[in-house]
Amino acid sequence: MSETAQQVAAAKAVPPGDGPSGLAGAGIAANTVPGRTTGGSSTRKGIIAIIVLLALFAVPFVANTYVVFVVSLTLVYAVSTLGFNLLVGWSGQIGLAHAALFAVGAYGSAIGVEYGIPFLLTIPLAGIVAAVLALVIGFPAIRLRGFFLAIATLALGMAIVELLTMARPLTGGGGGMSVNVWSLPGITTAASTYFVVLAVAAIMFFLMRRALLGRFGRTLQAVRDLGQLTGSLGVSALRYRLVAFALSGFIAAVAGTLYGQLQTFIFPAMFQMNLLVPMLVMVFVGGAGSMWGPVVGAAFAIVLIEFFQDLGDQQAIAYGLVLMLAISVLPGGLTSLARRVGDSRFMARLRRREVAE
Amino acid sequence: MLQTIVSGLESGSWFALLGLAIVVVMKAADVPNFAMAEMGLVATYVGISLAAAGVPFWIAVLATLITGAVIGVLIDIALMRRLSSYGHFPLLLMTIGLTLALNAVVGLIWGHDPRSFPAPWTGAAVQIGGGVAIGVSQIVSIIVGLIGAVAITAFFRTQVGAQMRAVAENRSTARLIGVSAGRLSAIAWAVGGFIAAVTVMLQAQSALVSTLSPASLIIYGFVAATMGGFTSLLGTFVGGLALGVIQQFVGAYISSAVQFSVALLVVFLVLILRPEGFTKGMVLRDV
Repeated sequence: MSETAQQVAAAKAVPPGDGPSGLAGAGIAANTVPGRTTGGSSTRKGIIAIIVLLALFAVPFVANTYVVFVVSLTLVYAVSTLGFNLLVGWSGQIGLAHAALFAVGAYGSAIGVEYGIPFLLTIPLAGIVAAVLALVIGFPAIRLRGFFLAIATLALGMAIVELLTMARPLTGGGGGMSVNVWSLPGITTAASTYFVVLAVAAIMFFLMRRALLGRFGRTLQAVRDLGQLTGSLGVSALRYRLVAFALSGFIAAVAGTLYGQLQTFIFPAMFQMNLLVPMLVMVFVGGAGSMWGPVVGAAFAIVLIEFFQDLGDQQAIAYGLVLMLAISVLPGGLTSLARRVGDSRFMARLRRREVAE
Repeated sequence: MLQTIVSGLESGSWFALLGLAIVVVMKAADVPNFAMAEMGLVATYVGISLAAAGVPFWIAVLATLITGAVIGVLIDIALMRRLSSYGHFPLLLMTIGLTLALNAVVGLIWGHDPRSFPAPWTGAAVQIGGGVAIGVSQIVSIIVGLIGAVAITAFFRTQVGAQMRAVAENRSTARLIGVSAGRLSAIAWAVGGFIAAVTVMLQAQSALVSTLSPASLIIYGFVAATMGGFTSLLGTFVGGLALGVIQQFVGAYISSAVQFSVALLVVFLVLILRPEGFTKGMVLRDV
């Protein structure tokens, strides 16, 4: 208890914009969202967003199927990490059921399509199912904090994957099931899936940006850093914690539905620790609590996975070592590097000169 | 029936010991060490290699234990300590990365075939009434488990142990009154690695271990630690034993396929009903 109070005190004592070490008191190396880092007018940012979207839209016309697949996968992981980051970074709860909720999305959509529900409709439906499940999983959050919550949610996530294995008539058991791939009329399947993924990812990022940079995101951060104290401000910490769980579950499942479409065949073993670990890495590398970190994290993980694919036996050791190295060198994640450079004296001097001119 | 209970107590001793190792590190260094079983595996494989090279059994055992402790200290100094100011998340990830790396290194050096650490008593059995035979290795596991639990409890009553509890309670205040938190976390990691080595070695003298076995062992260790609320040594020990017995009964009378699910269910129930561990409140005097 007193530890928490101290952490809060430490978090308060640190002037804003100090490096990650100062913010460590908050439990997680957090980012300051508003202010300096969001330089530039909103129209300029809008133009950049449109250019990026157009560039991504053009990918299937210029690249081969493999590249399209890799970019699709990156986008799917980026969406999933968006949800995971919301939970771990923004609300400060280490919930480890994300891979299982991702699986719920993949299975939910595949089963829904088999029962005649249109694929596009299964995306929000699977999301809602997962959100309800995530609420149940997050329920221990009422009483548990930190590692206890991590272990409780890990256990529940594993239980979900076990259930998927046991529900043989519905899911095909441990052997897995094939997914009916939905395609836009008149386009080849790979490109079609890519466009669906791109559209969903764009929508999710737009909505999350709206939510996180506004009142909701700030309240979440306040709940993360102050805990029950926010009650005195009229904010129910508990409600925000549970909403974070539900939202992250929803996003995980949405990403999961797309993942199923990409993989075309799913089995429970895909969604165990071997998926959870990369997911954690993506959150970490992207920087817990940042806005665009998920994209960076997902790209990093995908590049790593593709890069180490040919290593065979040494693959696992390379993963472990790279992960350990990354954490040792950059405990605040890869995006903290940019911020550290931005905060350095050299950059400060450059900025001042600009102003002077 | 009796056979099932003894087998349950045997595997329960392993879970309890690993749970105790996790709790010790958690208490002093505030790290949930997912790599604990892998640390034990590395140490045990060193011992197995020595024994295979003709080194006498007890010297191989000693080497195993020392290796476990040294690995623990090295991990603490080289990797963990400097991360402690960055909060929980990097620490958690670091132990996961370590788990992957250690497991892969073991696979690279020793291969993925299951191995055992044959003790002089491996294979011997004691006949008791009703045609029931109990393996000596089972008895060894249970007795060593008991000794381990008593020893760790006694350790926390010594001066170093008391300092460790002080650090766990409140790190900055403990430092103010002259407790060296760094030295203590190294000691805790050494003790943790030592116990992990004992655990996997016990497993290897009775059954086979491979690069696949730590994955389930660590989960059960965490279940045991959860039952003790990550602080109570007694709760962890009894919880581990109970878990082992429950598991064996589920395996014997329901199905071995659901053993794992039952363990998960136990975690969930404990965390929901008694998040501070099920022995909390039983120690009313200890204020």
